[in-house]
Amino acid sequence: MLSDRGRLSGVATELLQTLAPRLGQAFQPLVPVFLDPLVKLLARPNKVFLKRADKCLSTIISHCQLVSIVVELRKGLSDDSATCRRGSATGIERAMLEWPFEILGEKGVEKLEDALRKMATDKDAEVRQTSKRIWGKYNELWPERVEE
Amino acid sequence: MPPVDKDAKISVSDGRPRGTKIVAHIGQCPTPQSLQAELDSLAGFLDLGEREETWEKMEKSVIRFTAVTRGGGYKHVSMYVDGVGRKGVGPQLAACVSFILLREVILIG
Repeated sequence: MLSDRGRLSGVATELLQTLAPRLGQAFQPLVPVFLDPLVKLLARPNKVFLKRADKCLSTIISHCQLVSIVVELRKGLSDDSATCRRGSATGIERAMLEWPFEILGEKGVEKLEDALRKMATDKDAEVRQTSKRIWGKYNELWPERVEE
Repeated sequence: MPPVDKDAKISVSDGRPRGTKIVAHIGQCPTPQSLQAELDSLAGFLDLGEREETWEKMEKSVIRFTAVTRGGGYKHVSMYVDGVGRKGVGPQLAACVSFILLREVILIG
């Protein structure tokens, strides 16, 4: 029974992986609909679902490049599950590495700063490591904000 | 050899009986109407409600719609985004991705 239900989750995630690169920025209205269940899937103890969610999120982050995605990932940093927090942190790092920095804008940078503060004090060492790497990138892009 | 009739109609037989309709390949949505028909079909299956006996039908309908997307259905952008969005089949698709409904079934069972 679980494997049948798992297949349904798999094909639905596959659909998202198919439509996200094709829609690009037009994915915007779908962010609040689909990012939340994907982030929740990161909290699953099952490695198959975890890997699936991670892959789908990576595709969306790489091809859609929308600030609202960072907002949803930030919510994942408050989850009780360490795997969810790690996956959300990795997602934010990917956005930082792949997006042209102009895409974030003032609002996006503020969300990023809030995420960094959250990650820096996480009880999970991997999340804190990810935050250090993001912090390094942040320093390069916005040195004037570091002093503030 | 008889002389060639340049005005003759050329028919190529492919083994199909006469009058057989050639169905468009799954995934092609040349018109907004064809995309709407696919969205309505997907909605019909997702609206069945999630039970053990409906999972396979729902799975097949999502696979079909993925083929529709790959085939270019997404090019009718507004209709596509509305169709898979919050007011369309978005909430049902989101439920398929997550396991919320399954968890509820297990708790009740």
